Amino acid sequence: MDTTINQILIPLIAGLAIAVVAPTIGMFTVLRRYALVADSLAHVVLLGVVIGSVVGFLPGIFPYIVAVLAAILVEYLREIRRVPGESALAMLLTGGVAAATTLASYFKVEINEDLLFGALEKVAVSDMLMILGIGTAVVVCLLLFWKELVYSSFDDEAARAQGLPVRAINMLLMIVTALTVTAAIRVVGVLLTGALTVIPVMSAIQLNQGFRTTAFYAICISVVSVGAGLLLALTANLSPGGAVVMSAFACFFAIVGVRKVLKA
Amino acid sequence: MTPTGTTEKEIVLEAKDLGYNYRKNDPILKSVSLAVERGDFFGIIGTNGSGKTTLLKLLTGIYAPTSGEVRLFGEDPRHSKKRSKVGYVSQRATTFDRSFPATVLEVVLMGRVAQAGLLRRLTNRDRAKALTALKEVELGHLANRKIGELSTGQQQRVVIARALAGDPELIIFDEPTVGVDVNAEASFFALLKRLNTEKNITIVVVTHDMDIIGHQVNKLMCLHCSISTHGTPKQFFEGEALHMATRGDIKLIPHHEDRGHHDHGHDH
Repeated sequence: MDTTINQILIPLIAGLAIAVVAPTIGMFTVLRRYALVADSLAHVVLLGVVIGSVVGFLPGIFPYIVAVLAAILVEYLREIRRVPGESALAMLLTGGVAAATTLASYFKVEINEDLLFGALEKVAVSDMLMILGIGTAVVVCLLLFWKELVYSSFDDEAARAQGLPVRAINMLLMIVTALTVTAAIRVVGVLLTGALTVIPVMSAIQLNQGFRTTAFYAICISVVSVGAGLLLALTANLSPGGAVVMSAFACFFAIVGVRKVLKA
Repeated sequence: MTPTGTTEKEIVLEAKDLGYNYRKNDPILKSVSLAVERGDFFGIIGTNGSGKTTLLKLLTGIYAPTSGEVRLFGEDPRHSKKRSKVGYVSQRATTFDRSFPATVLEVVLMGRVAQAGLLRRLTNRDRAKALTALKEVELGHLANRKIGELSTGQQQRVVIARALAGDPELIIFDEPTVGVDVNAEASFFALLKRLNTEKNITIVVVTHDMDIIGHQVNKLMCLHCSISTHGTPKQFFEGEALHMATRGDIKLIPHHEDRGHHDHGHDH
């Protein structure tokens, strides 16, 4: 009895925590036209997982280290304008997968499907606590620099001209994104983590509200999508990543549809 | 306002022999000098590719100059806390993503961010300042509308209100008339004139649009300009041609360089 409840509760709590954090980050990455950053970083996490397996010592820590280093590198490349932002992300994504598969084949490490699509039954209490801890830290960080993040998302040139530390703010955003996607991978998997930073935000933007209200709606939509998706996955034994993202899309199209009807 | 000396006005923004190159030995700016005094309505004019944007980034301390120096309120802008006293109206003012989820008031409140400082929340006082600034540009009634629903001219006023909300002593405009229709343009410059004369805010406008700027500014600087005229430069600066070109009593500050002004050929 207890185990069944735990099997539902643990991934659900972990999932809902991610549901709150991901779109909060997404508000800023999407509006900076950097929507793919979470996806790209998620793919780099694969490399971190493989390195962790190879090293064998504290394997859980390597995905975080690799993702954060990749985030710093890509932001640096973008800032010095060596590589345009979009291309930097494409290189990061493919580079991460290439390095991971090469390394995995050499050391005969298996990259299993759980990693790609998430596996709820494998979410341990320790994973849940990790997600809650990182999630809380990330949200606190974002709230502390909220007004600077909003200003630089809207007009980074003016924000820089007024002496705001835009570089540092951008770097912070990248790092918290890296931490969040790495934590989220346990639940929704590498391939679909990024969706939670983008789809709920795009859904909320359709509602045509101010920034705060949009952020609030994005979180609500995300929580509903993750809640529904995970329950669906648990009861019908579906892939959790897929079920969550499909629920998010269902919300998106429902909102677009309702708005169309109301306008007509 | 800071009291100024009786004989000389305070210089709020100054560039001394400024140079910048993105690549070695390929300068986009060479030996640019300018001095903006308190109360000036200062125009910087240049064609596309003349280094206007680079100059702005140097003046606001976003870039570090390759040579020469910039003084903003007497300090190096890169390390100056007084940057929050500068309002900045970028081209972004009228070219941002229309679906950006922000209300008009939220945009104006951004002008309080630098004043409030890091790790400090915006308060009701900031909110009140933002609303006052919005009324100043006659858009108080639109505070809760979405920014993307406004006309381009209104959006531009909102961004000016954003600059005003920070109690600026100096406002810098980067190509403010891009994408704004002619009617809105006229009232936009009337607003600038009012801020300049009534609120004694120093204004710097960077543009390629000579026509607009000519009858507004009291000082005009030409970036990479080559002025073609009959007669000697001296005659030009004292003569009718300049008066006609600028339609008013302004002071033209040529930007000397290899390619500087030279006299030949047809009339301006």
